[in-house]
Amino acid sequence: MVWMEEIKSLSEGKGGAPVNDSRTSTDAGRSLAEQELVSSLSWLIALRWFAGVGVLLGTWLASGILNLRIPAVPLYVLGLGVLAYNALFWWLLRRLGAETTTSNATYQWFARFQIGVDWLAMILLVYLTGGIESPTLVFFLFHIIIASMLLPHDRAFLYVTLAPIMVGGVALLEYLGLLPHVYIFEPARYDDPVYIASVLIFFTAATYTMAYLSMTISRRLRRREDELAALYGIVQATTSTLDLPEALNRLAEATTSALRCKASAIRLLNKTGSHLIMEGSYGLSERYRDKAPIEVARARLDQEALSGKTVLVPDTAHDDRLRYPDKVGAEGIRTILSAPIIGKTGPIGVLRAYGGATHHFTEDDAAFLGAIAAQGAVAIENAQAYQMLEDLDESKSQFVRIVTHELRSPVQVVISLLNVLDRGYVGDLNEKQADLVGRARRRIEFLQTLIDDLLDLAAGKADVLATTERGLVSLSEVLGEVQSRYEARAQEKGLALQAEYPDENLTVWGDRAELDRMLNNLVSNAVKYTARGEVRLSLERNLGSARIVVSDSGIGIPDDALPDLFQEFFRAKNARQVKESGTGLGLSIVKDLVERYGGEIEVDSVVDRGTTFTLTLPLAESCS
Amino acid sequence: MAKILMIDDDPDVTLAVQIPLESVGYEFYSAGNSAEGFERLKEVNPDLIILDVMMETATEGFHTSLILRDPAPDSEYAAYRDVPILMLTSVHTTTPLRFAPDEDYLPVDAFLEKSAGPDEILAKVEELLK
Repeated sequence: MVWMEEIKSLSEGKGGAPVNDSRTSTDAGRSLAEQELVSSLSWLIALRWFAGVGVLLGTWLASGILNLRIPAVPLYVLGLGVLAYNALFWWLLRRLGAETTTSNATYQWFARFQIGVDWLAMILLVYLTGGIESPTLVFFLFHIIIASMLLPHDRAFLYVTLAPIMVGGVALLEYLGLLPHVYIFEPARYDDPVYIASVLIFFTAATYTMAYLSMTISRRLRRREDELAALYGIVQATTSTLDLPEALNRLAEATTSALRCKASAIRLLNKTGSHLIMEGSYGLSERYRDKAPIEVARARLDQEALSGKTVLVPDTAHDDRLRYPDKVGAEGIRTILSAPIIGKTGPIGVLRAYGGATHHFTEDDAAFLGAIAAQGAVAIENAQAYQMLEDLDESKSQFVRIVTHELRSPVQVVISLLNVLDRGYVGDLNEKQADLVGRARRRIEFLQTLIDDLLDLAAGKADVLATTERGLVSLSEVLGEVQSRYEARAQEKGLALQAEYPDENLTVWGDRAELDRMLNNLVSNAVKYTARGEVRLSLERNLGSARIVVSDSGIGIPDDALPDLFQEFFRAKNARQVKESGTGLGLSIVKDLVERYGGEIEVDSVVDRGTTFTLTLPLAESCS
Repeated sequence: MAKILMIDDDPDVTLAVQIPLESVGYEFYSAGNSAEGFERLKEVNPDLIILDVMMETATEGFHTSLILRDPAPDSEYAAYRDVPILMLTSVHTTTPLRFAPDEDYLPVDAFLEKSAGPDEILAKVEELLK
């Protein structure tokens, strides 16, 4: 029963990628586990015909040929009875199969009922052929195998326990004289050729039946294993790429090889759901691939499939559901199997397998194609989602490019022109003119900073790994450059700008410009928001990370501003009161960058006392 | 005094460069696109070319520089191959277009951001004409 559980867990989504409920149904709303049970039940019914006929033949052989003293009439009745109730079961199974609402529980109940009736017939057979002496006792083994195949573990053991109890019960009743014993053999039996022959016959029959049962079971196991392996291959093939056409072509190829057929094709519904468009295929000619999209309203076969059924066209030459049987025939397609591809919100397309010989596909193939389609749906939806993200990303990059040129250029031109005025190239400005030009210039320079910051942020978020030059970057060097950049400014304000560097060279894998930006924004803030005192920088190793501390004796950050500190455009009230301008993007850029480097940033601040930013970045050595 | 040809489709940018350059005595000529630039190149025979990166297309300036520096002996502009080129860019560092002068890839002598001040432009021009 292992394979049944595997398939069950697979269809329930435990085994592989998440599969939602609507996808477990493949054929007329039946799960794989149910289909397995149904096929086991029909197998059991097929076996029972032989069992019934076997009882009749055996009785005739034993009483007519071997002249055993067996109660022939009750045994004939038993044999006919087995055939009769088997006919009833056969009819019942067909009726259950026709009803789409039949639940798994109903099939389970049906299986248990059949086994119960079988065991009653079996114990009757044992009793009628000598009770504890009966050579048919060994036949109980077949029933035990069948019970353990069809029933859940605990139930199977219950039935197995029942067997010795029933046999023992019959023996006890006979022993106590409550049930008349059926004599078949005289006491001395080793020299009784009839006894020997009958035991041998039953033993041989038992061995052959046993062999048949175990071969059937292992064959079915092997087939399930093959299917699982193929399904796993399909999962691998389709989920290893996020490129939709590629995923679809791989799915088609994997389907073709799993079903050992001629070709496969995947058609997906267009946005309005009116047409099915061939999006991926394998083994089809270019001419066939380039056929016009299928209009769903006119395609009966696809309508059936899209309604959730796996549809089989056993012979394409004789099926009025096909609109262009001649074209299909010209392609060498003799049989078609179609399964719906059902996404999260309903059918999204149809998976078709094409066979080169009529009646190529079996019932099992139909169930299997359904399972492939369910798996394919996951891969297709993943790829579609990814494609949507990529499109979004592309439009974002597009936006960044537009902003770069359309927004940044005019601002730069204005700055250049104001600079020409300001520097007196067209004559000296009087005080008022100079003041106005100065104001305009400061405003436009702020605007330029804002645009640059926005671009940094957008670019950073849009393409995480798109930076051109990544390599080992020395943090001491970067921090040193930043420090020297702000030395003049600090001196102007009368601040002490001090730094401590480690003896060792701490390196980070990344982009020098990004790391510069990260540290620059922190140091720039520290210098900007500190009126007197000092700004201290330090770099040191902390296990596999570098710890960079930027602390100042500046205005500090109010407690209520701390939670929003890294929000885009956020500026604390006291920061806005400081004369110098700021866009409110600097710290969000820092945070964004730090996170991309797998690091952390912490802030510690007391108003009017100062602020300390502590940055932790994984070192290159620990990344490798 | 040296002759400078500026190829740029933005008259405002041209003006912002023209005023400081003329104020110190350079002869200044301008062209609004590459085609006009190539024409004027032959008329003016400049000592320095100032080139805009983005004109009608995002990289028109790059193509212009490649044509000007074409190493083929029969190049139409072989005579001007040694004229220094100063490229004006507004290409921000985070955009995919991220270049620095590269002998093999981009045969220009210097880059300057469009927002550079007039003093910076003058200094760069002087350096290139040395």
